[in-house]
Amino acid sequence: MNYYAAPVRDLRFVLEEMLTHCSLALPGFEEASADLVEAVLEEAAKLAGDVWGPLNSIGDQQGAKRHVDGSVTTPEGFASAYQAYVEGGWNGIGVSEALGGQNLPEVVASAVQEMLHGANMALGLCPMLTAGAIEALAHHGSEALKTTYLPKLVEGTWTGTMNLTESQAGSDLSKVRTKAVPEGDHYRISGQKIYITWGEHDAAENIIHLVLARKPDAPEGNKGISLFLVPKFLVNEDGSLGERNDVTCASIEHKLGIHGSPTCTLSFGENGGAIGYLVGEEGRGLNHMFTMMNEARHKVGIQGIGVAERACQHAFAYAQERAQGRSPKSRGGNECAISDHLDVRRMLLSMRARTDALRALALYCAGQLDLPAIAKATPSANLPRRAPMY
Amino acid sequence: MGVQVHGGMGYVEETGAAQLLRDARIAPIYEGTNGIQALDLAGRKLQRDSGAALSALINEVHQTAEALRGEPSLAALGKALAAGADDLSAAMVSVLEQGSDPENGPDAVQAYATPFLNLAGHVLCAWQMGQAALKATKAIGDGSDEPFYTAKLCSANFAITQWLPVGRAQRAIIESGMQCLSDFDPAS
Repeated sequence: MNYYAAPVRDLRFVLEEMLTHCSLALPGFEEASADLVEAVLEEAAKLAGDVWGPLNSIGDQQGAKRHVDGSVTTPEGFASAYQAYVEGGWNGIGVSEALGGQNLPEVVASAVQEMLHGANMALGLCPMLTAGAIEALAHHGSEALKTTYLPKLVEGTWTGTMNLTESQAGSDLSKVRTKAVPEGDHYRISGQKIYITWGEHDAAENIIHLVLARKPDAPEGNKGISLFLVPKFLVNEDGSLGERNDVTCASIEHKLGIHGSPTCTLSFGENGGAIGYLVGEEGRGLNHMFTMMNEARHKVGIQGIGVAERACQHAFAYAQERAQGRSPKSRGGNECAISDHLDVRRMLLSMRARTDALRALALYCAGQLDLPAIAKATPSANLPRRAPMY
Repeated sequence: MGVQVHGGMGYVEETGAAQLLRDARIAPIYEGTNGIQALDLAGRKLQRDSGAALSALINEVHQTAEALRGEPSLAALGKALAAGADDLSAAMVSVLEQGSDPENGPDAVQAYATPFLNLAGHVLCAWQMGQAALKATKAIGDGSDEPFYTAKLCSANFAITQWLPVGRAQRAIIESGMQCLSDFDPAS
């Protein structure tokens, strides 16, 4: 009963029939012809349905495990399913060519994300966070940081995390206390971050943490917060991996769901301070992090649709198979499937309508994210500009 | 709701329905809870441009409602969608007015943010399903007999006639004021 078939027809309906004005084969995305997009969706559907989907319940049952040395292993099959995703080039599909990606519009990247989350939300979180890190670095990182870290993040051989929350700083990030002490061309980071999704794991060579922290002389509140890049393994000048940085996984959470996704407490600087590099401007950390946050918020919406679609598929299949009671149509006859009862049908259609509506709305939003790139490629076009998001 | 369809089989783990509920439950919490996002919309985003961006979007909803009215089989959907858009406009005006009050503004934003987000979400979802209905009707009119389009029409009909009204009720919630929230003392 535990299956998932990616809703390619539904996604194509939104992309091709509802959003034709938006991004397919438009200036800035000339490569994204309807044929190519169809092929991309079909291939993604295979990865989602055949490789990621079958691991969903194994991931739930096994969960991620932390060992005494602080290492974390993900459920059976997760690392190789992630590897298949990386080798297929999926991580960079929505990233511009200049950064090593495939420059497909956000609407297509979002459609693929929906499939992956529907197949396996716990695993889908890993590349979701990497995408946010790519976005934040691409917008705010120095050339040196971009050169060193972006190619591997875009490939997916390294993954990214976002480190905001501390036990006293949740919704109110002005309370962040993690310290960043300047030392030569870098900083020494110390403090503890909680709820770090995929903060430590065995599915990639390196993990790039983006961390909110404040300098010792920084003012209180939001304006004293800066953003730092802290790699799990330091990167040598030739790009190879060097020493292990001073960041460890202190524990992983026991959660209601997404058991396959390691939610970590990360300790920075227990042995002298983790080496970190400033991203963007000092004191603008929250602003820079919101580039990542906005990306992640849209993707959380997409994620919900992925899971809703899977729930629909389960419910529709069960309701048509489960025989119970009699409907007016079957009076005197055999038991009917519960899907013949209109009250059950109300539930089914309610699930279907919400999933359809939210999919269309989320992809409409993705189309809005594509507008700047389209506008850039057609300076004369009178396209509406999206409002700044923060 | 997937769990509910399964009845008792949904509450036990073996069908996998329960896992989906457990997994999805984090989405309204992380990257900013629904409440925080509602405050961002009703407080920051709306107040920043006095509702200009949302008004432009509501105009687009009205355009879709017009197009639906022009299609005899979809006219009722157009009427319902336009009414939803009017509710959203009215609620926006309330939230802007009360939210900009120097004394009670911050409390008003807190009190109305969630119903306002809820209303906006319902209207915008109905808007998208209005578009879906137009496209599906066109495909059927062009001769397609793919059951997909008939199913989409049912889905759009449901979204606008059976689901949008739940969202529209949020306007009444906003207009009923916040007295009960400010009077209530959780310690009492």
